[in-house]
Amino acid sequence: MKAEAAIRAPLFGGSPGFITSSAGRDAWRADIASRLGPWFTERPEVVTITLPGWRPETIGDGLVIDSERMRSRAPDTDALRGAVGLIISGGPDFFGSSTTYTVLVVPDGAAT
Amino acid sequence: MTWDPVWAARAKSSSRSPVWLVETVPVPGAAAPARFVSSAPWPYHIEALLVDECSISHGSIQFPSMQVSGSACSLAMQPGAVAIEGILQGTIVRVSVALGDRVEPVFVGALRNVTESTQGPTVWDVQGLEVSLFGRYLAGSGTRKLFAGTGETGVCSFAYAAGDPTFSHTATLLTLRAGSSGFRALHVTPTTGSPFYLVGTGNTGAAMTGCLAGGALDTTVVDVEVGDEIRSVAFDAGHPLDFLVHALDPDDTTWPDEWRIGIPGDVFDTARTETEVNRHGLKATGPQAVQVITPNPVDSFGEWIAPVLSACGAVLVQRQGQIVGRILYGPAGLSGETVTDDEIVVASVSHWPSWTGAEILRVTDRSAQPGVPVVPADIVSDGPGGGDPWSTLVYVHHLLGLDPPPPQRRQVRKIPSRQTLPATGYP
Repeated sequence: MKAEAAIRAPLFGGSPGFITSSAGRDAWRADIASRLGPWFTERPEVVTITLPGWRPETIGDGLVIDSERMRSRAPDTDALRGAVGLIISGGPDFFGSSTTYTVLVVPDGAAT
Repeated sequence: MTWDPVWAARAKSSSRSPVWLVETVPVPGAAAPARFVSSAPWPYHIEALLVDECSISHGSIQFPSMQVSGSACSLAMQPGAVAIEGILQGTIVRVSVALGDRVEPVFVGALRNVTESTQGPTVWDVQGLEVSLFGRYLAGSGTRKLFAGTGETGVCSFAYAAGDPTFSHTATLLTLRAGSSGFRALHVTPTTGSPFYLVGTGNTGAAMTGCLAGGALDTTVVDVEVGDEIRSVAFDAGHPLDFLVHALDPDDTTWPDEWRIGIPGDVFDTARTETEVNRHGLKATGPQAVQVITPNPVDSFGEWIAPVLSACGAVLVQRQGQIVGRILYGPAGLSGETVTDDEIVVASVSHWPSWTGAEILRVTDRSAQPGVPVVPADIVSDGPGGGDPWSTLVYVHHLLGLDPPPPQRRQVRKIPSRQTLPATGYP
């Protein structure tokens, strides 16, 4: 059978470490929203970037892209200048000499 | 464990002479063979074998589902380099690279297949360990499943009044193990009401002591009558990444053996995972603890942990040759090394990637009538699914674990393309 894991917020009353309320659930919801939204609900741009050498960054790491050659759909600039991105895939080509990442960035202020 | 700075600096440079090391990682106490192959005969191992080709594909995260597609590795080596009789499917394989006098792991996985050919190399297909945690490696575990002891049933031999700290349940001895919270749990199907999870601190075999008045997982404790069914379940509360540590770190004995996987300690990055927990604002105890009930033994740890992690915005990924639990952040919460045009070899930008699937409308409801449903029915989505954008919005919020926002807060953004929307009444 498949794993059965039920997840709920704490609701215990009176015992150390547990509270009778939905505060825990709301805290996680708010936390996810603060970490991933509203960025998460906007449509990010996807940057595929190849860099020389083998780099240590991996999925979940941040990467700051400071490029004048790469354009963004952001309204106030044509360049990706100092855009912070989330690495969602990629890594070193160990039998080559480069590293390729797929990075999500949010064009600041882009309305469309 | 993070790559050694000297090794990392050498890895970044263009002039390097890597030596490949491939080893099967022994599981303490288990019968899995440990062999070691490398692309240089010395000093790395006496049984040195040439790895002709090594191809590593890295994993990825899909949004908005947060599903992880794992990494993989294909190793080609000389025919007969390793006797197939000595290898078991599922054996943990680690690939490392030596740069000068420093060696660091770059990949770890579980052997899925070996292909031998009369005309070509022997190829090992290795699946990333982050998506290979199915069964248990724990020494002596035999065929026992993860969370063995759950799902045992019995009937109550004594009546129980809700709120009583002692639940004298049955003459049948049930397995009631405790996790990091110190609580153990029973699923009770009472005659007098809805089923509930009763938790307590102690277990004498026929009685659970220290019972709390409130049931786990939003259930309500009610009176229990003689003959009502009870079932043993596994319960714990804490931070989801702490659950990972308890299950995967062989030196962490917080959880009973039956709840743990038993992989070698050096393939899981405990320190980095705990760093993520500490970096994250939510803690393992108190109102933010996540409760997990496991009602039956499970076949796959990976399937068990995935929903726990994704519900909290966390993932299990491979990082620098180890697996690690991570909390995901949007760019606003991230920092990192800066790369400039001087370093960029090739780059491409996809301005409207279709796979994100997030089409959101900016709709400002100025009706000032909270509770009155206001649906922008005149607006038709041009996204892949088409249809009502409000449904899309609700869907996205559900994925985020959020309830649909109340009507007066319907302020979100339009993403997909430049177009004029007939949104009368919604300036």
